[in-house]
Order: sequence, then C-alpha cells, then structure tokens
Amino acid sequence: MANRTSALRPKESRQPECENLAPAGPRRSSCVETFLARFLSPIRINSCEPEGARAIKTLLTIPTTLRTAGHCVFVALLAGALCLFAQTAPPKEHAQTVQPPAVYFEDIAGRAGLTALNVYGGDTHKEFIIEQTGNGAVIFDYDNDGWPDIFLPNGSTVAGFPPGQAPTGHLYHNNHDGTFTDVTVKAGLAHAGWAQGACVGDYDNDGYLDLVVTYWGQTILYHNNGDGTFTDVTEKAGLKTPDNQWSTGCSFIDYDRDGKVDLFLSRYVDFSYETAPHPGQGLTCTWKGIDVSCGPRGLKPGVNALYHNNGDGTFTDVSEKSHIRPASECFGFTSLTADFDQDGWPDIYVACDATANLLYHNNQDGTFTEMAQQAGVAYNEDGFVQSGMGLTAGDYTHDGLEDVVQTNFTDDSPTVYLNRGGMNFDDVTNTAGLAKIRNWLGWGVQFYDFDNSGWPGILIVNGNVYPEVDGKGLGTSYREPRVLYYNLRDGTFANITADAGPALSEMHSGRGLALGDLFNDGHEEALVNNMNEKPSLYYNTKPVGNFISLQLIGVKSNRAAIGAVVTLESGDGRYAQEVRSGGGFVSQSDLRLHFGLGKAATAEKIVIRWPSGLVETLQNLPANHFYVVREGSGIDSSMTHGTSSTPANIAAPK
Amino acid sequence: MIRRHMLVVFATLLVVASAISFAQTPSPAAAPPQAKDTILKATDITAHLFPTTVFFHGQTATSQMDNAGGVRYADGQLVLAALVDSSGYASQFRMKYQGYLITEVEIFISGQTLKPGAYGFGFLDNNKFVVMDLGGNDVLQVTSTRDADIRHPMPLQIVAGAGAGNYRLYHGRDYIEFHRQGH
Repeated sequence: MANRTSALRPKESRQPECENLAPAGPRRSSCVETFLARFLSPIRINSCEPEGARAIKTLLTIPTTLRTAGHCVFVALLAGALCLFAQTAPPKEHAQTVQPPAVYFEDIAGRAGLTALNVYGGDTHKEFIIEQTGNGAVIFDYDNDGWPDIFLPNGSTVAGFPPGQAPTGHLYHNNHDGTFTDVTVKAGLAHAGWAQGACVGDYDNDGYLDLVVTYWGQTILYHNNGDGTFTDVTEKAGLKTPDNQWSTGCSFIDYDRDGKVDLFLSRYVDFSYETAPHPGQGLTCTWKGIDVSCGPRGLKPGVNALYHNNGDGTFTDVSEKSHIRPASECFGFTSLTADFDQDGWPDIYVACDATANLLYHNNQDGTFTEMAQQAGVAYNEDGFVQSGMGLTAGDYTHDGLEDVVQTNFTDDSPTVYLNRGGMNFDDVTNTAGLAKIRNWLGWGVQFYDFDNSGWPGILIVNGNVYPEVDGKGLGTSYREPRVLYYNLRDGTFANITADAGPALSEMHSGRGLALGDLFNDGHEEALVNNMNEKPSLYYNTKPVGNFISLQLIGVKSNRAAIGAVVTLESGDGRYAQEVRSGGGFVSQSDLRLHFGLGKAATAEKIVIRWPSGLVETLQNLPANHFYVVREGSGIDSSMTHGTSSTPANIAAPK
Repeated sequence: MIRRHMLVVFATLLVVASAISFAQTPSPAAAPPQAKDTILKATDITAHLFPTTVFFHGQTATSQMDNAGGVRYADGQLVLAALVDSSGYASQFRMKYQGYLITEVEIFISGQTLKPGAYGFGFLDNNKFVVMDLGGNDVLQVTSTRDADIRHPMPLQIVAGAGAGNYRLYHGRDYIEFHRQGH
C-alpha cells in the first residue's frame, strides 16, 4: 500500500514527447525561428510543436515586415518545409563533448563546527507523519559582515522533552576562518518545536535580512535587529494564525512590485495527534506490506497562504483576494518563486506531495491564476500525479529561461521540466538523464555549479520517510546516498556521484539543502540537514574555474533584491539566475548569485533586471571577485572584494 | 516560367506543411461532439453528481474528485468516471482497480456493450482496459490506445473522440473510446 503513489501506475518507460520532435540538447532557437529571425521581429513560439506547424503559426502571429505578404508566406513555408525535411533525418546521438572534471567532495561539517543534532521523531519507528518530513537548511549573512552564516531548523519528538531540554534551531556565526560558532541563544533564536523550513528577506528594508521559520504550530517571523539579535514579531506583524497550521515552504516575494517583500507559505496537512490514525489503522497506513505512519493521503490537505506587506511592519492575509485560495488540493511542501515567463512579475511554484503541483501565474494586478496543468508541470509526462518534495529553478540550457527540477517519492524519478517560454514546460526527465534512479526518495535539490564551469549540475539529497523499511528487503532504505549530476551542456546530465569522492555516497536520511560560498574562496558549498543526525557540509576540494559573485542591493526595489534576474551573456549563450527566497527542500540558499566562468578571465556582459523594472548592464567584470551592485548606481567598489584563501582546516585537495 | 515554378513549389510546400502540421496535431482530434452533449470536467462534477466514496469488492474507497470527468448527453443521461484511492486493496486489485465508472446509458467500448450501472475500471500495462462489476469480476476487456502526441496529459479526462458521439476516456496517455447505444 503506497501512501503517496498508490494511485499511480508503475511507469515502465518514459517516452519523451517533445524530444521526439526537437532532439534533446541545449535549447537552441528552432530551425524556423532561426531562419525567420533574419527577416522578422523575433517572437516566442512554442518550440515543442512540429516545426512545420510552428512555421505556420509564426506566420499567422507575426506582423508582416517584409515587403509583401506573398514573400512572407513563401519564406515561412520554405523555412517550415526545409525544417520538416531536416526532421526526417535520424536524431543525432548526444555527442558527449564535455568530460566531467575531477571532483572530490568532503563532508567538512565536523571540522567547521557544525555539530548540533537534528532531532526529528523516531529514528527506527515513526508513529505519525509529523516525524517524516524533516526540515530545511539556511545560508544567509545575518550580520552583514560579508561572510554567509548558517541557520538549521530543528524538530522534536512525539513524547516531547522536559522543560528547557527540548532541541532548538541553531544559528551558526561564520568566524571567517573555516569554523562557525553557535550563537543561537545570544541571537534570540532558541525556539523549540517541529520546525520545518525557513526563508529570508528584508521585509522592512532596513538592510538586515529577516528570517521566517515555518512550523507545525505557529510559524515565526524574526526581525533582524541589526546587532546580532532577532526579535519574534509574528503577532505584531499580523502573522499569528488561529490554529496550529502546518506550514512547510516559505518564500518572500514582492508579488505586486511595490518594493516591499510579501510572504508566501505553503502548507502540508491538517494534522493533530488526536485525530491522526496510527500505523496500520487506516487505508493509507501501510506501505509495501508494512505498517507505517499514515498519510498524507487520507488526511486533509493544508491551505497555502499569501500575506501582503503593508509597509508598516504588518502583513495582511490576501490569500483569497489574490486567488491563492481556493486552488486544487495540495499537500504543499517546497515553494519557489521565479519569473518563469519573463514578464517581469514573479510567479509561484509549489511542489505538492501526492497531489498535482501548483503553479500560480502572476496576473500583474495583485492576483494569480493557478495554471500548473496548462503549463505542463502539474503531472509528469505520462499525465500522472507525482509526490513533489523539493524544487530548484535554474537555466541549465543557457537560453535565459528558468527550468525546474523537482524531487519525488520513491519508485519514481526526479522530474526535469524544461521551460519552453510563455508558461509552457515539458517533462524532459528521460532525455536529461535523470530517469534512471527510481529507488530513492528525493528531498533537497539544487542546480549546482560545483566546478564553476558556468553550466549548473544538479545535487539531490535523498532519504526514505519510513525507518521501518530497513532490513525488509524492499530495495530501499531509510538512509540513502546523495546523487550528483554533471551538466554535459547538451541538455543532458551525467551521474558522477561515484567519481566525486566517498562522502556523497555515505548514507543519511537527508532533507534540506542550501548552497553558498561560505568561505569566500570561489567554491560553493552544499549544506544538508539530516534526520536525527548532525548536518553535512560538502566542499569540493578540487580546483574550480573562475567565477564572479553578485550581491544585489535594491533601492527602489526591495532591499534584498529578491526577484532580480541577472543574465550573463557570453559566447555560451545567455545564462540567467534569479535572487530567490525559498527552494531546495524548504530551504534558503545564499542570496548572492554565483556565476561560474570556466576559464574566462572576465564576465563579458551582465544584465540585471531589477524588480522595479530598471535594467542595468555591466561589462567586462574581472573574474574572481565578489561584487556588490546597488540599484541604479552600479558596482559599489567600497564593498566589492576579491577571493579569500581557503581556510587551512577546509582545504585538503586529494 | 520561374514564377510558375515558384507557384508550384509554393503550393507543394503549403500542402506538405499543412498536412504534417495537421497530422501532428495533438489528440484528441476529429469531429466536435454532438451539439447538445456536454463534456464534464472535474470542476463540473460535484459530490451531488458523483459519490465521494465508492463501494467496490467488499470495501469503499475515496474518489479523486480532482480527477473526474464525464459526458452529459442531450437527454440529460450521464456517463461519469473518476479515479479512486485504491490503496486499501490487495495488490492484485490495486493494479486493476484505478477508477470508478457510472453510466446511466448503455455504451459501446470497442464493440463491446456495457450496461447501465456502476463499475470499477483500470488501464493495464499491456494496453488493456478492464471494466469490473462491483464484485470485482471482469465484465469487459478491450485494447486501449496510447496517445504519444497529447501535450500535457492528465490523470483522467474525457474528451471528444473521432466521430460524432464518440468520446475518449483518458488515463494519462492511454485511452479507450466509447459511444452511446444508438448514437
């Protein structure tokens, strides 16, 4: 009995849909587009359709700029016919022109002083679903010293703890020497409970990043006081909820572009110890013949929420008004914001467990339209519901559009949704090379340029929800390895986990995943929150390519520049990244954008589209610098700095 | 002469491009439904029309109301279908029992007749579609078709089929086509 995937049919083969029509590879302009672009104004057309049809559609939708209509018709038809002819040729084999580099990851968490235990329910038996889900990871610079710090939410147990002995989340201050100091109590963040995810944003634009921690129970907004301490302002801000909601993902988002970040919360199930069935007691309380904790099927889904920032330190629940509610039922986990259709307005994606995913398109008038099904991200390519856990968005094909990778339940693979533009996605998991591993249960996921090649790979953190599966011969285990994919730059990825050192193959039940260059040495680290274990911090000890890092400071836009899109234009195309709150698995990565440059000594052209709409262009930025860019006035040279040496306790190339 | 050749090329290209374009138009294709029939989407199917829990083979299961569809014929008669949460069933039934079908009229599926009633159904891996009575006995088994062209398939949907009065019951990319007796 499968609590999540019971309604799904085993997927024996994944038949690529559009890839049959447009051979996989980095998404290039279609043949027709390329042909016509020489004559006509560029427009966006559906690149998943047959080229002939697209040629005709193109013809029908574009204004005639040639001298005569007949000429236009002829050119378009000729282009369509030529491209159709070209399509009859057998698809090219994926020429693996890129060889993965030497990569060697070490888990340096212990060396760095990240030693607190994450307590999350039972380790050999879980009575309730609250013990399954685990928690996120956060990398953010809370004290503005230019060195990212770490926050790790913590959980609890069903039995609870005596007063004063309950575990709390942990804030680790970066000592700038490869170590961290636990400053939780001093910072005012020692709070016990079933913490889930966390996200950061500067809701009052005072220059210091504030922190939201989601809970089963009251989600908390912490105001950053700017002196190393935080204050719980939840009630004062109007975020107190009447019931013990189970919020999971969170994202700060300036959905109305008024320069003040609003807050989106995704919610999982309506849960209480009193009403939840016990293992074996209900239809959704066994899995593959063993009694396990029940849900989420059979439980009432949570309800997502959007809070508008009033600009005076308070928020107003606009969930109904904005049409976030009602939406299809969703057991909501990770939320992720991105301007998927490049209209300048941020959209919201929610990974839903055992239910169709949600994609809220921003209508630019304070409302959203849920359109996951129309956009092609509600289900997998065969039309079946998956069990979405984690999310990442990134431009892995260098076309300037943000694609999505979603992690799912066991007996299923992660899903790669290729963004075709215009809120159209295609599930290209099979051709991307991620359909092969199906026996692990995915959580945290990040597009991750771990060698600074400029082409993001993918890191996935796994772990089953049921400790009871261990020793049952079910082909899975509670603790599972990570998986690392290298971007081969042709639309496909290679699994290089086995060649990346033993650390990634060690078994953990991982959940949250966040990225950041913690030591300002040009290497991005990956922080993982593990169930009932200490965290992991992965560092690639092998040499990496050149890079630039960009910290954006909004002036008219929100101070943390959440929603800003930065595009690196080079001979390799247009590589876009977005300043984002949320993602991973209910996690928060460093807000600085890290662009690998490979061997390039400069970033040729950087285009910043601020949330306010202002577009700024920077050119020929020398590599290996951490740039601070202030909206409207370019690089702040007083805050820009070069690369630091890797701390001795961290650097140990193999 | 050159102009004439260009016209010939142009006409040929127009025909070829159009033909291939139409040939690759995602299903469902073909004729629109009968004017007075109405295709029902999940949002049209409330608990008033379709039970939220359904009995089949000794126990009940929850209907997935988000994954439901149907046809309301011109005379008001209904054919309704929804996926169910069959997780409470033994594994051999879980594979077969994926949805619940209610028909008020006699329908034909690939030449086989299905009387009015309530049934369980499932799309099997070997391109088979099976309909079972409430006791779990097979009453009909036909070959299903896989639609490789549909752009964004859904867990369940009913759409117009090929020819007037024909409808397709889709489960992901797999579908069967049915029509009503006398239509």
